[in-house]
Order: sequence, then C-alpha cells, then structure tokens
Amino acid sequence: MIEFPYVAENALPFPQVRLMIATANSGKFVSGLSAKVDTGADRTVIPGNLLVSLGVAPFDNLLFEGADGHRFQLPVYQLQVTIEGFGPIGVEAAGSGRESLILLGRDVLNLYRIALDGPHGRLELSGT
Amino acid sequence: MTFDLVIEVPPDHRVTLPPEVPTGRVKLHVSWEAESFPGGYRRRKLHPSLVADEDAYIRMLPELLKTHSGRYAVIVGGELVAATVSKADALREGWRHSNGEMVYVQLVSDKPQPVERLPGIREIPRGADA
Repeated sequence: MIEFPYVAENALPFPQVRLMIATANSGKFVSGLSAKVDTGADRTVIPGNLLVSLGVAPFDNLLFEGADGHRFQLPVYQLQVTIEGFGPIGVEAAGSGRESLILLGRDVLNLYRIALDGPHGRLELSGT
Repeated sequence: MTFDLVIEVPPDHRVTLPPEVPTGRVKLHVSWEAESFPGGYRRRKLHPSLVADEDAYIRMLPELLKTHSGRYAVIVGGELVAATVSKADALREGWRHSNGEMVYVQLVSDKPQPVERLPGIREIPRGADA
C-alpha cells in the first residue's frame, strides 16, 4: 500500500497520486507528475502541453459529455502510466489543451483499491 | 455519365469529387446508403495506420461476437492477437506485437457504448472570476 498526500493548495484539498507518463515506443517519458484523482471522469485526461513534450500523436477522436450535458470531441492517445510504487499500465487517455491538471479517471482508478482519508489529507492506494 | 462512389462525409459536408466530374455547372443526382456493420459498430475516427486493422475487426466481428463478447479485441497486422478482460492488458499485448506502435483495441459488444462523461466542473474562488 502506498500513501499520497492530498494537494492542499486551495480551500478544498483534493486527492492526488504521483506518476510517470511515457510513450510505448519512443522511450520518451515525463516523471514526478501529480495527477488529480477524479472518480467522476470516465477516462483519464492529459494536458496538451504534456502531450507535446512526449511528442505523441492521437490515434482516435472520441465524443465526451460534460457535467452540464454539452458534448465535445477530444483526441485520444495511447500511453503508459506508472503510478509511483506500481508497475506500468497501458491507458487510452484523452488530451485537452484547456486542462492544466492530469485527471486520473476510472479507466485507471478501477485497477486499484483506493481509500480516501479526508480528515488526514491522504490517499491510500494498493494493487488488486 | 454515372458511377458509384463511396465517401466519408465530414461534419461540414464538404466532399471532393473525383476528377472525372467536369468543372463548371453540372447537375448531380445524390443518393446515399449508410454503411451498417454487425452489432451496430460505427467506424471510429482513427489514425490512418489503424484503419486496415479496423477493417479486419469489422470482418471478424460476427465471429468475435460469438466467441469473445465482452472482451477487448486486439488487432495487429490484420490478425487478432489477443482478447483480454481489461483494456490495460489489451494495450500491453498489442504493444508487445507492434513494438510499441499504436494498436487497434476494441471492446467486442453488440450494444452501443454510452458517451463518456468528463464532468470537470470547478469552483472559481471569489475575486478570481474577473
């Protein structure tokens, strides 16, 4: 089991994990990243600037729906995500030029056991 | 002069006619027939390198629905190389066969998949919304 402290830089601290994102073929990676745990998101979202750093091309475009029901398309990328303390997993993540945070959606979160300890500001993550 | 033409119509409906169509004022007769695939599969907006594998998937789909429904099919080089329970496993298997190049992965299902939700609403602190 690995513990990650909440990010407490705004009024409502939020759970996060530390991770590395890599391409599957070029060896490019970015490590030491913080990803917001977003159980409301069906899919992981990666900020556009990070995708530019990795030099990765989208393989698909998918339709998504926001909380207010509006629909929009985003490009989707095949990437390797490695949460600190665990092995790499393959992910098909959406890319967004408007998003500044990595949002870790249920496509990744459902592969782990997660306990949120709000009063103590920490997330506990363990493998299945 | 008449000929049959199969084209992908983009959202803005702008299409390019083949060079056999003369320039200038012509009268066109347009008819259309939507492509339909087993299980209601709809073509994806894929990277060009994956279109051939999507074609292979569509050809295999009637059999896959009988044998691997509910699993993620992985197609590499026109061949089914794995059918896995999780997408993460599908990508790992696919990359193993493609040397890490992008791979075609598709959930085998005869039901349309719902539009995915990305809620992402955040509160803007007072004073930061100017």
